[in-house]
Amino acid sequence: MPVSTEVERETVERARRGDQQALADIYDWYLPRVYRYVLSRVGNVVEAEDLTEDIFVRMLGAISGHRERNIPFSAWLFRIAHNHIMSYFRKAGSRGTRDILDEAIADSRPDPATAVETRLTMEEVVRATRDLPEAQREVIALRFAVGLSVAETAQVLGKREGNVKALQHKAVARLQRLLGAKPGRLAAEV
Amino acid sequence: MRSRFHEHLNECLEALASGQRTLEDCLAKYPKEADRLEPLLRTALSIKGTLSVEPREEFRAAARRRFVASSGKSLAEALREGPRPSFVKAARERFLAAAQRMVGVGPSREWRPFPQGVIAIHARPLATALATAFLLFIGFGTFAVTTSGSALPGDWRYPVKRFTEDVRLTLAFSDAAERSVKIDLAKERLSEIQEMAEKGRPIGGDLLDDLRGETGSLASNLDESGLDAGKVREVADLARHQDEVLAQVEPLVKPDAQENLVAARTASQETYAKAAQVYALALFSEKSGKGEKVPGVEVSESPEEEATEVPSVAVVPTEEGTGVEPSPEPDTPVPESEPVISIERGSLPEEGTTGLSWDRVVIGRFSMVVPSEADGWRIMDLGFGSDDTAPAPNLLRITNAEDTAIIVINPRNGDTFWYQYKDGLFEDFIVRVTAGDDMYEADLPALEGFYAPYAAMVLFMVESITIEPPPTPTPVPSETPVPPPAGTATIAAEGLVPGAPTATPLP
Repeated sequence: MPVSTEVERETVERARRGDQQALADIYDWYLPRVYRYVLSRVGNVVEAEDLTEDIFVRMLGAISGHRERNIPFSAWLFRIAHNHIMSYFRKAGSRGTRDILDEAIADSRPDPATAVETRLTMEEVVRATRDLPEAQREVIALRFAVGLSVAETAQVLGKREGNVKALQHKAVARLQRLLGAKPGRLAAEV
Repeated sequence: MRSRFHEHLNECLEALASGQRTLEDCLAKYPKEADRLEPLLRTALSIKGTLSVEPREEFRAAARRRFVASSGKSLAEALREGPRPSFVKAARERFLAAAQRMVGVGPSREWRPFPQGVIAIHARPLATALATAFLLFIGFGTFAVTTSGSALPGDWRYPVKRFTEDVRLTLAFSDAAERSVKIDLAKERLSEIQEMAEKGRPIGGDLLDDLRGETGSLASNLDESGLDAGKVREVADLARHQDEVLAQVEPLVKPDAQENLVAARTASQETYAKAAQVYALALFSEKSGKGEKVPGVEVSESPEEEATEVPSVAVVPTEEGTGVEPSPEPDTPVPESEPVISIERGSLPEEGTTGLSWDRVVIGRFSMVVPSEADGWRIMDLGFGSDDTAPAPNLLRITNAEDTAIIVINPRNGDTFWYQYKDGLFEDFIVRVTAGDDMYEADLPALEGFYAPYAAMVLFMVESITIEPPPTPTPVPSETPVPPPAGTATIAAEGLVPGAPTATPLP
């Protein structure tokens, strides 16, 4: 649920002081977005759920120091998420990640029937994004799964806004070529 | 212009996301770009729709309960007054892990001499456990501790050795100290593996997993800021050495531990790749950009050493690009103003120049073209003012958006070095370098063999370099003609001095 910047700032400040209701509010606001980000990166519901929980626990351990950082809370939180996912991929690289996209993904969409008819599947998107360079993958996840602005995405990744726009353009163009074999789907989407 | 298209694409995406415009509105606003915009916007919208999933309700509820429950406990600890809260929490966890390890040893042979009550007491509160650990460390365990340093897995003293390591890690009070201890621990695991191999002992999965864990911990620390380049280099060297040792000891690895070996080698390779990249970035940090050597790093072949010295000969390509000549020695120094770097945006058309758009960089008498930000390249660490000028750096550093390539140019003499992360390895390549009175450039085939996608681009940059001669005082009329100075440098039309060595990748 979107909240104003002022409300969020005030809630984060209370959370820093240990207010559990404020922490719960932050959790409720951000859980779906963190989950979408993680799922779009790992492509597996079970691992996405585990990693999402880990990220919030990490946030708990770090939130008392947030005030000192000159960065909006959302960018700060997704930087934690980004670092955690990078760490996960490093560890998972040696043992192999699960590559099965659960039925739960499709079931969780608002309109599964429409999804089958007109939308790309999550599996198609995740597989296609795996062919992108890492930086482009991150931009796709943060811009389209999370819905961060270009400025926020730049803050999470430590890049300039111009670079993020360039990466976004390259990524979308590449995905259009990779996924473009189904023009009917793409055309029907809009 | 490509950059305008990025902007228009992004503007449309933002407008569509906020509901301010429809797809048709966007296409109508940019009719000349509509054909290019439409498929990209449709793709982006489709991806966005696909990624708009919600977590399962049962997960959401259960995870929320766990989060709220843990938040009170964690914050109570984190907000404790006294030392830095994050330190208190981390140190406490490390201590308890160490204590748990000792409890986990249980009534095994090596712990029998200790009173059972002492072991059981570790389940008590922190202060008691800490005191007990120190008693064990200092008192009862003195013999075992002092003689356990050379213990190998399977030795009776080995658990003591590991326990003392945990205590050492627990007592590392600063981040830097903790990093140093972790490096030592990774070296110790590797040393144990080497020693077991020398003694012909089979190597089990547990030891390999421990090595992998220590290596992974080092890799995680590389994400932290403020790392000393020397330490990063140490991690890179260690990780590479690990992989070599693991390859050598493979015949002695137990059959059921082959997967552990693969995992340990992968961790070593990944850590090396990451450390090498962080190391290169540290080398070219602002500190080195000002001509200071990075502590603990040998930089004999790296460009920052060049940056500390003004070359004795100024390289001055002629208009034909076929010759350079030493600059005349002025009779009196000519003061030059503080150099600035300025950018002329879009100085070259896209066509015919590897499909990129180009900006021209001018630093004092130095000039070259660089790929533009619109194509994902940027000059590092510069804060331009509104007039596109900034104080000139000693080294011009250009990186791509993916952070996989760094091109470093010395604007004093045009020496160019290219650092490229590729296939898990970080390699460096001299593209142009002055040596004495000669100047060498790599040729296209040599570069293409390694980095085909970027080779033409980097060569185009290098070939655009010009360095104007320094201002000279009014020459004193002389009746005797001055002969040309010896050692005039030459550059072949294709960028190679005939018979001169082609630049090759450094090992």
